[in-house]
Amino acid sequence: MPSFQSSLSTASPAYADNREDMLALIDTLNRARSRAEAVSEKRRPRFSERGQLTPRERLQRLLDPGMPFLDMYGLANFLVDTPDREASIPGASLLAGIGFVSGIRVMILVDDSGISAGAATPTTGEKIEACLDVALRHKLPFIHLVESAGADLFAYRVESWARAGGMFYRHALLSAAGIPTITVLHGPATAGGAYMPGMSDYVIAVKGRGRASLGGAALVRAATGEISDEEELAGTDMHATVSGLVEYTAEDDAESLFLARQLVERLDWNARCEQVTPVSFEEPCFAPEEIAGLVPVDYRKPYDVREIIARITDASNFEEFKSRYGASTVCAHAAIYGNACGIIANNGPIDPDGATKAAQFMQLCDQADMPVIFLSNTTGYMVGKKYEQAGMIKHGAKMIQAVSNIDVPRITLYIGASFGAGNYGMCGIGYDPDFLFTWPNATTGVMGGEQAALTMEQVARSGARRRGQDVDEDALQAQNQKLISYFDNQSDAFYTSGRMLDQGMIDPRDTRRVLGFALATCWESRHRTLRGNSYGIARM
Amino acid sequence: MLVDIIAEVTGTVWTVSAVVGQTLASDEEVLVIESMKMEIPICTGEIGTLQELLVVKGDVVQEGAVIARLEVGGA
Repeated sequence: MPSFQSSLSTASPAYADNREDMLALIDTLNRARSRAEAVSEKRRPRFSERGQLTPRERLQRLLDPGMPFLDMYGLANFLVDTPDREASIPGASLLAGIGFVSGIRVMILVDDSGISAGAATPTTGEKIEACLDVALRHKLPFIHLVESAGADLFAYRVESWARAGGMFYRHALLSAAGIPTITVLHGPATAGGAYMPGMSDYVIAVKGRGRASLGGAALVRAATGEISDEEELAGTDMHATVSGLVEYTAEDDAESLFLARQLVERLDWNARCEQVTPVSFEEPCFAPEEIAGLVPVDYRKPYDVREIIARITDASNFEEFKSRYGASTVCAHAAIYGNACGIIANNGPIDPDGATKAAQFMQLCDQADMPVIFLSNTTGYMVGKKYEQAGMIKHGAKMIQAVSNIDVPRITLYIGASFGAGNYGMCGIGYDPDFLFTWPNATTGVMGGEQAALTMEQVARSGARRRGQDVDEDALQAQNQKLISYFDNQSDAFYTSGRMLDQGMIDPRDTRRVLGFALATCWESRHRTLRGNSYGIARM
Repeated sequence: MLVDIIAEVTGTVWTVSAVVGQTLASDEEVLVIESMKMEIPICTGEIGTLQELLVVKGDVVQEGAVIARLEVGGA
């Protein structure tokens, strides 16, 4: 029996309205994802002509069938290419996520060479680096299926190129940490991209298609005048027999993925990880499906976040900690798929009592070696005389101290409002959570657009008063409108996710599954012993 | 008996949903206060008739201030 009694009525008009609004946002997300797939799919005839698999088929062949796959940074570059959300292509020309290969949990990156031949977008380098960081943090073997035209020279930016060096730096760190990196060369890897195989511990390459060179034939001719053939300059056979860059050769894409699966299996990776003791658990008593109708997409409308906790936790069974103290900050012990965890959630702004309660609860979770899940839905720390005098700053600071310094896994979900320092205290991106996903209705920013506009309006009015001038009301209204849309546009979850301020947008109804996968990943990484070295593997 | 309805937070009166003379159910919304970007409904604690409404839309109210009075218990 759950201790929590839900007061949600699925027959109420509010439920129907909320559900309609949330499903519309989920639809926008699904349309964006499908658009990337459709663009890539248009190139299918070219892939077939060359006897290749499409990038999505490659991913499918690599993964264990029927096992979960956690898509990561799926909205990267969304609204960066164009502000039109019905035209923008998400993904940064990469498919990425954590999945299983031969029973081993791995981090996978696939160049989506169906989109602009896999050429880098302004966000591609950042996404690759973020995925390498996830692999390092969670001790996940890293597999990259490479086929990329490289950077678009017409869109060259010195800062992107200079920072892109961080990709190979991270490869070196992985290798030295004792985490194997594998490249499957399905197509070209040119210039900087050639270090992708170069830096990998293992390279599998497809005959006739895989290519790696610091300069392609055109650049070589421009640089030295030498006329060369792509195969002798960069081909799989040359690298397998002459340069020694390639360890394994495959006749085609399918064989290369078979070889990758076999290689992962032979590494016997799980021999150095404790085995999970299977535990029994019950599904929530309240259906996760109901989350869509429970949450108003407008964060201004309050609801009880415990209704969400009841729909993501085992048997809907959770115990609130200090429920009557700082009550708008909810702390609770629960379990998700048998993983005991602490949950911190908000029912609005955080007051001094809520901040100290959350700080204490985090320390207790740390003491118990228990992951903390943050369901971030706060319009910030309370402002005003009463709260400043009560020490809002010092109490909020305690919460930020705790969130920064606890040593247990921290998993954050932006589920509604995430404003001001409330975003920091609730383990926003700046606090480097182990995992961070967003719902499509989330709103993130220093403050709301209306509050920003009103603040600047008051500044303008008092300035005019000081100078003895009249206020130009029309200009002020225009300024307000401009500021509101400037702020609100940037706080939208599709905008923030496109700029990689989270690791991806999820359907709120999938929350329990995503959290379960993230918790299992954290558990594994903390129970795995690595055999690191100080040098990384050198290819001889 | 007259019962005070209190503002739970400092904020601005966002909407007023009830009118003087109206019979309200227990836990029925009287008005909404906008504070910290949230629309916080202020509701009755019991059944009664709205006797006085002391604020109008746009008023700034302090936490703990009386914003309305409800006649309860069939006085």
